[in-house]
Amino acid sequence: MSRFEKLDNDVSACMKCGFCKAVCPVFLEEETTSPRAKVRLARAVARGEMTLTQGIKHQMERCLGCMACAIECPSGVEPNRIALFMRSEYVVQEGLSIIKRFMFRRVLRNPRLAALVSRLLGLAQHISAIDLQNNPLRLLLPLIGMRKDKDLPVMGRRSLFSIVPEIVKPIGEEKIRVLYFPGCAINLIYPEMGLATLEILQKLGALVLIPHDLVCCSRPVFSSGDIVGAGWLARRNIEIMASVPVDYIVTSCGSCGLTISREWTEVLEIPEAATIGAKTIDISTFVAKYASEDAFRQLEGDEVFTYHDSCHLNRGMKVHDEPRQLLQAALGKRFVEMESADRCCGGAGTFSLYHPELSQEVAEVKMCRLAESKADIIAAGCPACVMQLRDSLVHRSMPQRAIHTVEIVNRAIHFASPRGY
Amino acid sequence: MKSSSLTPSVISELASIVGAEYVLTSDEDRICYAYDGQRVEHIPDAVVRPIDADQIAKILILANEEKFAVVPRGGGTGLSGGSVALYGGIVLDLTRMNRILEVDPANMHAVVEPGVITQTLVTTAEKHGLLYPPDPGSVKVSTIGGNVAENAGGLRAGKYGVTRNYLMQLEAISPTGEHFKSGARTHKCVVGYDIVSLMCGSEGTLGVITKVTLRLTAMPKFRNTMTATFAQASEAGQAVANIMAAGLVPTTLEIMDNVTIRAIEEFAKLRLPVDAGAMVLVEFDGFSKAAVDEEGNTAAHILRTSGASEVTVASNASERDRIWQARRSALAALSRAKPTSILEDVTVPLPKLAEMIAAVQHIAEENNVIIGTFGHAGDGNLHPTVLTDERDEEDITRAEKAIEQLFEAALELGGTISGEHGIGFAKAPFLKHELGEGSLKIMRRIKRALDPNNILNPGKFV
Repeated sequence: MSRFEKLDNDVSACMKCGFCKAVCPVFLEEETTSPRAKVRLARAVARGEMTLTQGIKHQMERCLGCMACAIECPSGVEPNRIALFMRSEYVVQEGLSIIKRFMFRRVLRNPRLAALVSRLLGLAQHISAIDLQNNPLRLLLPLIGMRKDKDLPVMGRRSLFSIVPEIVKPIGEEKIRVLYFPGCAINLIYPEMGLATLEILQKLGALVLIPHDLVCCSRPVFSSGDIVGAGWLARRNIEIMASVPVDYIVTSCGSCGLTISREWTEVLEIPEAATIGAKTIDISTFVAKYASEDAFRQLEGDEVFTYHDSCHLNRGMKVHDEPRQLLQAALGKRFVEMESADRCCGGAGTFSLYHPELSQEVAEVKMCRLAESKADIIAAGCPACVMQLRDSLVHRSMPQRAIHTVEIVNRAIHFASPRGY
Repeated sequence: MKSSSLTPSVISELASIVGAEYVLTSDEDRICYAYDGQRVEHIPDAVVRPIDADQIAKILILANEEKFAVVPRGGGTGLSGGSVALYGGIVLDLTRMNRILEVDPANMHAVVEPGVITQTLVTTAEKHGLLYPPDPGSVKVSTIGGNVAENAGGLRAGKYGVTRNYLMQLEAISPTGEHFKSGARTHKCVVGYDIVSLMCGSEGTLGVITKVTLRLTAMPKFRNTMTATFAQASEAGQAVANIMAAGLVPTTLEIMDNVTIRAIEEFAKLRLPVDAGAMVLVEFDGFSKAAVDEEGNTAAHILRTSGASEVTVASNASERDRIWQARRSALAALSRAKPTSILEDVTVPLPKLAEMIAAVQHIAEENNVIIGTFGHAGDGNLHPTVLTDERDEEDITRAEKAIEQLFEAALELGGTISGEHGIGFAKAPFLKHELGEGSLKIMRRIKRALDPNNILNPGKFV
């Protein structure tokens, strides 16, 4: 079956009922912006009604990949995947820009180079003092696709790989052996989230392997349509992962977790990825499964916490209840549910860079519901969501804070004998 | 793809009315406004997105001068092609007009613009302890304007009626661009011709609705839900007729045949009886627990004496949810079985329900097509869903023949070809079989009197 025949098959299942419009965060009244329209435009290309126009490209890029439409679809169509496929067709037709080519095919393939680029960015950030909101240099930010008041994460800190050894021993006796895949955001930008994850694993008696040559999971690469580049990264990771015998591959990033557990097989179509995918587990599921109830102590304080579902963690990896159970155990009544917890925050990885304004339009709903929840702190199981939530809060001068779930869980969990290995 | 046949001067005049960013002329935009929820599509010459009644009036005046067609559109979820621009012209996208202007709990009414999503109204009314009952399957994405224009029904129609029963007052723009108003914000009104009812279900052929006042009702407090399993589908049809004949008024009374049950089980794994000929789902609601219990007990008794092999009453909310989850997955499950599913909505008088169900099965066998039937049996409205593949010409021809026979069977039993989806163009050729030449003539005369240039939604039912 040719590529377009397969696409034609995928889009044919769409009955055009339009139910996807009820859940799509970037559908803004105009039909053309809906998931149903993306499917229709893909069909137009598959059947030769239209060519790969710039207008269609624009619509295909206007997708968060939040999967809400795919879950809602009665016929099992996945508009998000159709948009991904279409993006890859544009890459086949137009090639990659020089910057993307350099990032996807050079930097992300080499952990040392990635760390160096991160250090250089950090240096530039430090020298320019661009973090200061009144810095006139901020006027240049829109040129690289950022809002003037963008909350910039501190770049160039010591990477997780440079802080921790490749083998981290458990506290006490070794009960289980896992590989921790931190992903680029945690390794290079938020190492504290990685450290918290590692401490949790140690406390639960896990011997943790962190191969320092692991590369990007490939999500931002195939998400930009570079299937070939993504395939290289996935295979490189698979090679490393397959060489170490572990019980689980643990992730603490919803997007990395989904990519490893499903997308390497389903999007990149790498059959060898299936066994690795089956072994992949989110840290919250791991804790919920292996920590005994007395492993938690309730944290003291008055701040109220709520939880935001990372789309990839919730709809992608089907991890919904576990983080809530852990937060409940750590916080008791100080944990409250927010409305629309499962609605996309608008970050969607690089989407917030390509579509800064739309990204904040999507975030608006989340911020309103957060304010209504009366929570002081919003937790999420994905560094990309945390980054977007922090930026959205700064943008609105809101007092709430955003953190990763592991940072709460690590504080609440003390060393206790884990159960049931 | 055919390029737009509107002249640049017309496009620029439209832009001067609504603003250039609300006139869409690119191929990408036009193709996305070529469809609704049924199969056949036509690409409009442009899409225009007005914000108020005055803009709509100006657009219609221009359309009469320049002689282009205007096709009003809400959520684009219709199932009979009502919002498809059969003869080109412009699609008038009303979704920017989406304000709820008023909810008045004292008079139990709401005033809304046509582009309000039905679910948004339902949720808003709930906050005032009120119910807006019409709940078409597309409730989360369809608009009130579209619901009025198609006279949408839903699962609760047996007890609560359809959209028409909730209309108090309408404001609209006539095909020639005049503002007009009909009805009153009162629970009774007999002043003038009942233009409200004429507009309701007129599928955008007689005017563009710009404001609607809807009646709301009190939110019932108790529910009683049950399912019954039958060996034969026609037995189930008879059971439904028996329940209605006993004077019971269920909120919802649904039926699902074997094809549907098996498809749902395959898809949702709800432990349904896959060997059953049909299942019947019944729900009562009301303000007194004793009343809904008594109605439920009577219905359960009737179901048993009508031959049900099993009757199960939901004892808690999760059991009830499981029942409705099954029903709600019906179309989804069926549509996964084959690439194309064509959903019909033939409706017959209640005593003929069993005969209609048998006729559907017979038609499916005779034409060698798969038809899954479910529907709102309590109001005689069935949804035989023909499963086919639109890319296979032979397959689709057989499907079309089966659909024609479904219509014939419904008419022979004294029924109608459409209970709630409307005629559009998909069913237009069958209109005269049902209504006869005399009625069509009257309809054409009304249309011509109001719309001499045939501007509004041409090609739809008259």
